[in-house]
Amino acid sequence: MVGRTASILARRALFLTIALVLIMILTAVIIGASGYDVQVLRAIIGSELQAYRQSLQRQNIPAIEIQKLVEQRKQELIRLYGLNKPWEERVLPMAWRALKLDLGYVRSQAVANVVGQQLPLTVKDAILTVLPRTLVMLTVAELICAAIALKLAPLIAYKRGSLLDKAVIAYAAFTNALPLWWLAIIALFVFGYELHIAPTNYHIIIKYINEFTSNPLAAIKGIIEVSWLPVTVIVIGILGGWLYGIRAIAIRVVNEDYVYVAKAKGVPEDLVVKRYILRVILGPVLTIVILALAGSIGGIIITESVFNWPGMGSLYYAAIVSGDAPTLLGLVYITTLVYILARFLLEVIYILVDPRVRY
Amino acid sequence: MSTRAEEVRKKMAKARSERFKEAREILSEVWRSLMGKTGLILIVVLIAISIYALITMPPNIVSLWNNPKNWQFNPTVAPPAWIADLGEPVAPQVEKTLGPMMQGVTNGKMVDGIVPVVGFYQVYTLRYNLRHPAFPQGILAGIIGGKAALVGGAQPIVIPYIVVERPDGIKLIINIPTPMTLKDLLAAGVISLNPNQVAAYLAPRFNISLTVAQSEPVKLLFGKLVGSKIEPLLGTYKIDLILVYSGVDPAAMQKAVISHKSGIWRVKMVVKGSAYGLMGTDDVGHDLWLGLLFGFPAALAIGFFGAVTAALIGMVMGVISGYYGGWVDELIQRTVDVLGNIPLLPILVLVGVIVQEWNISPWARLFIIIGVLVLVSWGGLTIIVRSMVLSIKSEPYVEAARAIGASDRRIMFRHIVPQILPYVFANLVFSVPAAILTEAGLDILGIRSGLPTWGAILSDAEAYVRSGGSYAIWWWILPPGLLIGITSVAFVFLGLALETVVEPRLRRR
Repeated sequence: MVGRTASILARRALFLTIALVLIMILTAVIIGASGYDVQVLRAIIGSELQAYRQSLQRQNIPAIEIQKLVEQRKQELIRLYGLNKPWEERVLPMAWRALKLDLGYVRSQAVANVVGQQLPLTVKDAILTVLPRTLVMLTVAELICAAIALKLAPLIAYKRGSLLDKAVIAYAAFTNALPLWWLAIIALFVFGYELHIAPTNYHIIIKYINEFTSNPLAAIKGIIEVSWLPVTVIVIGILGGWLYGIRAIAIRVVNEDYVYVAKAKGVPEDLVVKRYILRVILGPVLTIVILALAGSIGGIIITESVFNWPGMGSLYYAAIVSGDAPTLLGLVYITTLVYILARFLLEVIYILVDPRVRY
Repeated sequence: MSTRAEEVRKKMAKARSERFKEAREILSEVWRSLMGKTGLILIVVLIAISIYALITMPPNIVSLWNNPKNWQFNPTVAPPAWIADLGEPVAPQVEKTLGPMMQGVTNGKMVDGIVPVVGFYQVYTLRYNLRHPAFPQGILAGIIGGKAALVGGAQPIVIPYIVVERPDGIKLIINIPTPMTLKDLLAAGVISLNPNQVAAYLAPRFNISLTVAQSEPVKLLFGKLVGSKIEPLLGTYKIDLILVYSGVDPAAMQKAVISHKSGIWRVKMVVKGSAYGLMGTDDVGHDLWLGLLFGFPAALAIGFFGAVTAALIGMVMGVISGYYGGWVDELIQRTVDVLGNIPLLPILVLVGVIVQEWNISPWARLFIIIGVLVLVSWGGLTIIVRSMVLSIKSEPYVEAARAIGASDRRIMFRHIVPQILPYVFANLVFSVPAAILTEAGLDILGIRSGLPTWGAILSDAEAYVRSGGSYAIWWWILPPGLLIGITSVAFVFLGLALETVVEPRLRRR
């Protein structure tokens, strides 16, 4: 029995690893085959050569000599960035190195700007520096929603068809339909620009997070001051989905006989919800919570861009727009890895916790 | 033999009519729920508006929209004109296409008392009545009818003057009157107000410094000084466009103009208002009404294309996966696994950034992006359809069909697909907003197809505020966002209603 479970888990692990490798290859192929990285690399080399030429001119080197030196430097750079090779030999090895957690160096200034540091900068440092900023925004919002939904959703399912139930469905439908980033734009304009009770510049979060180790109390106060509006907007925007999702899971058990029996026995309502509903649905609910938290570390590109929040989403965006292949591959790798690890962890938990799941 | 064929035909007709009956039943059940009714009504309205938009809009709306020259007669960042009805003071937009009020040849005189004229000249006049205390945004004259042909072997030279006579009697030339060949003038197409010219003329009259005058010359043109503040000067403004021709024989020029052989004979004179049209304008002067109207068919096209293709792929994959089982099933399910782990938005943004560089039509660009979205997002439906197929596959009638030798394809499409179709349809309706919201979201990130969709309009607004513009641009931000929301909510409502109707039916099977 144990051997069988282990072999099933090993098979899952293998599949998830293959999925991870495939996703990295897919990303690399999109970057490489479209010729996107070539275009960006040419631009980088062009501007470096320009700077080099100017520095040579300042040293009063004769023009013919400059021409030769620049040409030499150009060939060096082409080799350095691998432009003399076809894209498969340039981008795929990069993906392979990333898989071995050798993420390389950030290439573009735009990415370094989001991080708030100077080049040279490793992709690993860039991600580790930016990650906490997304944690205090998106992950906190997801946690708040999870807490509210766990408390409310089973009760709503229990009172299926009530006014509260209908209101929650309508709320979920509306927030599902209205783009979160539009709510963010409106909130930013109203509370930030018009009422001045929320910041309009969110880059300051960098400072507070950097101060965290030296002065935690002041840093926490600062973080709350900066992040209350984004967190509130995200909670309002995604809470409907949370409530609806967990309600849908709970509804499957509210009509079970044991719930009726408990009710008939005169068990108080909150105890029925807690003991006979919540406990039963804990497995699938845990799945939702863990996957949401794992997914949140990738940030939310659009809403972060609206708030100009220097988080993982902005890092993604900067890497894509500036064609920074190492950073992009590193981000795809790390976010997918965390998500896949979370899924694997869930399967292990399932097998360990739920006696019904023995495949 | 023929009776047997008859019988089969009858049976098929019966089966078909039963399908229709079921569809009708589902529809009427959906109609009975409040959400279903709201969703259906909204969708019908959306489709009706889209049809209206397709009929009334100019066919070249996209290229029209993307050429700023087409919008130069409009005020920029102007709220809708109907705010006047809410009691807001509004300087109206006035545009008139005019022929010359007067034209003729003179040996030398002063037109309007300030423009010296010798030879052939024309005067076009527009009167502008400012009734409410608000400032117009400017004055512009465009050439509508004209031709640059040689007259007596020479290229005519034209000096354009725009003269404004204010209600208080002050008269001034508001452009820099430079002699141009008729050809150059026609190529330029417009004669516009020169702010520095206006400021330089009005500063000494109002006893203010030139720098102050230069900060708001157009307000000064339509204003008076109250204390140190500029307030609108109400009354009627007479605006003359005076064209003075030279370089050719005056009489010949006059003849050429009258016979429309050379010269200018029709102009459009515009006073840009402080408010414009039904939905206002953006920073380019785009009539937002047109853009928002275009958004309806665009959003529906994007939504339907995304939802229908995703549903088709998802359904076919699910049926194949569930029906054949074995390695085919394994392959499809593992593919779905991989797709489920892809960081969707970053990949879409990447593809969007890449195709933005490609020299293809805006629609092609858009459909590539939505195509990628579809390729990544069909997995969810496949998993559900597969589990349904697994249970339907073992039903007696499917086994009976197989026993009498029906082909796999026939069993799948005749016996299985019709059973799952209602659910697939509910799922399809649900996923219409996904494509619409994705397109709009990419717009906000600056990844633009080039079409004036609602997302594109919103993204312009966001960029405008970011670059330091005023954020009090409700007419520019609220309508596109609300329209995206209303469209999405219509499909979400219908999807929810369909789901509650379809799910118990599935369970009953």
